[in-house]
Amino acid sequence: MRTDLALFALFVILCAPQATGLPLHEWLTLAFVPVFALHLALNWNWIVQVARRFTRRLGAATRINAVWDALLYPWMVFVVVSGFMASVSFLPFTLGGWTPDPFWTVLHHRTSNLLLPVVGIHLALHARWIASAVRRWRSA
Amino acid sequence: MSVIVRRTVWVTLLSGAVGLAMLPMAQTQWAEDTRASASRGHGEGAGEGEAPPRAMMLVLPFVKVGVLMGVPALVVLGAGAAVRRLRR
Repeated sequence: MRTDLALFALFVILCAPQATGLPLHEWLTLAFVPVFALHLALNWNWIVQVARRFTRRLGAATRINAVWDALLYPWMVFVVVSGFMASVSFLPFTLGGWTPDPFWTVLHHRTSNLLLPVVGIHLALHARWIASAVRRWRSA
Repeated sequence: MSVIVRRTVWVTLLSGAVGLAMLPMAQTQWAEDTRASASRGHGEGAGEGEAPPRAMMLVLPFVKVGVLMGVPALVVLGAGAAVRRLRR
């Protein structure tokens, strides 16, 4: 639960670079990446079970969920990678002489804007799990 | 190393590999065309005009995030509720 809250908070802050400024946006991604990986690791059993049963005994809702999550994962990776390749703060600081590639800058802007509804739908598809996790957390 | 830490490391490495596999995209003709149109966009006076007030610059990006995430989420939740009601 705490991992997911941290992931959500980091994601929202990262989606507003006009408010945070580009340096914080880029450096905060270094915190986002391991939390995102931890989120996948914590839900690994679900991922594996759904993948194994995908063509057999699986409800339509779970199947839709799995397909959407399979779309979300490479999209998220692409946004992070394109962001690094378009870096104007982190990479110039760590790799002297780095200049961002306009191709990655353009793609990062477009794909990150489209990522927002994809994540919104991801949250809606997992709404029941989120609601029960909140109830468990409150009663703990 | 706990199972979760090991899985996290593996997921990070896998994601890094997936990310590296995306890099050759920058060598395509499409990438060249994108760079050319991006530089044309800078040459046409992009970014001119007054900057909005500082307070708006702090708030509006989060409003954008809320709308772009929240509206599709609400649509999906509504569609799910409608489907469940129809099935009863």
